[in-house]
Amino acid sequence: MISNLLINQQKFTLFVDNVGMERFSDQLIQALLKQQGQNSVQSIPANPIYHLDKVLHDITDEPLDLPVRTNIVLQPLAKLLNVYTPKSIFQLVNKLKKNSNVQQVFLWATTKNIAEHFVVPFLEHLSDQIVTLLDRNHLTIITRKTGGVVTNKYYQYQLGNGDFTVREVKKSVQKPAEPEPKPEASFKIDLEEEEMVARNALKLPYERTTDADVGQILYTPDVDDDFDEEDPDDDLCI
Amino acid sequence: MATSVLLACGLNEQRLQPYTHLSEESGVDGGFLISSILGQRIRVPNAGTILICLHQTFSHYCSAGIRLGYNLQMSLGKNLRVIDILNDIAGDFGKSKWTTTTGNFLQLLWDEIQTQSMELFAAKSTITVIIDDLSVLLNLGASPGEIMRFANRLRQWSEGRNADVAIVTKLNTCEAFGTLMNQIGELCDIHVVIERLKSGNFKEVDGKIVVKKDTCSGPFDFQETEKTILYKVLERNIKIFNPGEVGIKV
Repeated sequence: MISNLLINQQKFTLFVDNVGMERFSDQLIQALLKQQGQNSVQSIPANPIYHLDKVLHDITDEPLDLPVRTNIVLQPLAKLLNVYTPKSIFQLVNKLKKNSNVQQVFLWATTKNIAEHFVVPFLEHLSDQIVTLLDRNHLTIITRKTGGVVTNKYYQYQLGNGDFTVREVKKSVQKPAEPEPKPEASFKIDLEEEEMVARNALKLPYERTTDADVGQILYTPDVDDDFDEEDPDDDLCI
Repeated sequence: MATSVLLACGLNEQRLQPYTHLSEESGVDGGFLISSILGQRIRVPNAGTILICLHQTFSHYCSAGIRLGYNLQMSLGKNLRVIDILNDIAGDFGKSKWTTTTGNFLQLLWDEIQTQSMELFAAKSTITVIIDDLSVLLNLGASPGEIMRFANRLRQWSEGRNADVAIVTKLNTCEAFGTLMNQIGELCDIHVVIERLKSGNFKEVDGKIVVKKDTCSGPFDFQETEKTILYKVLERNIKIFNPGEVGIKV
């Protein structure tokens, strides 16, 4: 169960979604907390944000009368950014991190839904735990512990049948492409370094540049010449 | 006339899903889907429709409807209400309330939808609100964030009325507004993407329709289904094909 890995002492957990599961994010986080017996959960902002007024009020004004050991599930980042400025979201995260009554803070960021490119990297910088959904089967979890230890693990996950299971796998490192096998021959195919330099220095006849003055026809017409432009070969009497 | 395409997209129900969104790529015309949905909605008994014209005028939809076998003029004022913003603006640009509003333009549109829906609900049990192009709202001064809040508010309204209200929106040249399209795609129940053929033009097919649906049967049981069909808009009907079907001669 992934909840064993995620529900811990890390204060701020950021989900970076490259798949597109935002609409189920709240249910998913609530279910993870429930699996670990964490029943004190609060959503911020409590009410959905559908005001049409242009004034962006400050999210940090939200009242924070929290009972002890409360888990906070923030609304998905894309929705927050439609109403609040990035600055006030960063301030809220910091404020929640410093609040001693807060057990853990969860925020879901779907990269394709966020126009501001700096927001997710900055939140990654603020977070203690980053869960990145790479595709429908793989995710990574980066954990920054208070002692300074950072772990980055790669997992294969499966969603379904009422559970979210993960299995740690070794990330396959792409091997450098092997050189193509050389054809067998009875003579030497390879070139030495000196031969290579000589070959590169050699100019083939069609590559030779000619001086502009060489090979030009210089002709000064006589006074009696009657050059016919329409038939330049008229004087040849063909 | 257009039943096959609506059936294929899952839009031929008596009650539509709370939120259906159509994303139209540039280079294709998905207006036929709005006309098809309109034709289906006005035939459903005890259902009202509010059409918000931002991309085409009401007269355009009347002409398109006649080709598809229905007459919108017969329904106007009974089970159909029209907010013809495009016509209002074109009629008198300087004095139209849609261009001269000092407050929030979307609030004005919201108030207009509420007024019309209250009148319709007096006689009808369900209402479908159709907005034919959200991208025009950007031209009228709304920001993508405001459009998202407006769409969220429409959805919340639909959910609050136990799905008596169905919302259908369309976003033209969706690839130009990628973030907005993705966000509305997350919000809606059925996301229909009208795409052009990647390999170029083909006289027997106009484009591709991709229908995306997300279902959730439990906290960890999410399913995403995707269906692709090809379409050809003809003079009086719309033909659909399965991918690979066109051109097979047996």
